[in-house]
Amino acid sequence: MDVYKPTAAASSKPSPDKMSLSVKNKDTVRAFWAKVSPKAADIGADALCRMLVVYPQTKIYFSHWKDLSPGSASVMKHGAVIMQGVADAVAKIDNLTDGLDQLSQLHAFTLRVDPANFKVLSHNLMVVMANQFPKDFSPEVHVAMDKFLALVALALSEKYR
Amino acid sequence: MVAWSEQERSIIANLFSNLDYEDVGAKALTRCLIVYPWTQRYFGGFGNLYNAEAIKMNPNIAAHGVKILHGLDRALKNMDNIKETYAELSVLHSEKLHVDPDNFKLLSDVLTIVIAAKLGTDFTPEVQATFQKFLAVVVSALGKQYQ
Repeated sequence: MDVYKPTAAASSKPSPDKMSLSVKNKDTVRAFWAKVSPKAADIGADALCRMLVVYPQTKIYFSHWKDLSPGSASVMKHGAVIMQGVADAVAKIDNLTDGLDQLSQLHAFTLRVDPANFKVLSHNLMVVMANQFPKDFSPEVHVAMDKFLALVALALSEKYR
Repeated sequence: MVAWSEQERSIIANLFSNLDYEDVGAKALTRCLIVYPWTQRYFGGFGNLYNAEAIKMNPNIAAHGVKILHGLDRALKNMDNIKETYAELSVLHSEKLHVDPDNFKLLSDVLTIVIAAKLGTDFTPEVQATFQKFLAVVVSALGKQYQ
């Protein structure tokens, strides 16, 4: 499985202690993102809505919203905000730790989202990707996206402690 | 014992009555082996797993995926007694197959994604919540006899 073959160009810094993205993984993520990004806001809203319904404990982070129901203005708006972050991460895929530094500070010091929830949101993002793009979300795209979102989560957790 | 509402029972019954086991079972196990390659450790005797293409074309994997999916039928038929229903299978996975129970969650996540791809707009947040609850109860039962 070439996801485990080390290549010189794979990352700007050696990272022996995490599953780095191969050149192929990055190309796959970028290509899939290019295809789905016109519907990014829609994907984000759907993923957020699913997270709130399927994992009700995540609602505690949105206790300041009046309306948490699917299709509510808050959910739609925030889904789009989240996807802007994902788009940013795709653009900075070669160095997520540095690239997402400010977002990490936001999540660590202001939002203080328990990092376990990053995995929950990632799962729901991929459920929506599979649901809305069944022909494109192949196993190969799935593994690249799963790795990418895990590394985004790691980069977002950098500043926590 | 887990409580199920009438709506949840109906969602699960409906989902399984329309399920294409041959298609979904094969896809789920195949995808699990590709997305989480360490799970290949349990399939040493199943033939060529060298790359994603080989895994996708492997008839032994496809057949086994269908078998695993049919394993969920037991829970479907005994929703009020899932823990006891899976006691025997839990012992099998622990004592004979030596499967890390963490892997049950991995397969469960992949199966959710395969079903999401298959059901389109029918895979509403409510259906997803019910299906994931169902799988979580099965996963918990399968891990119960590990010691």
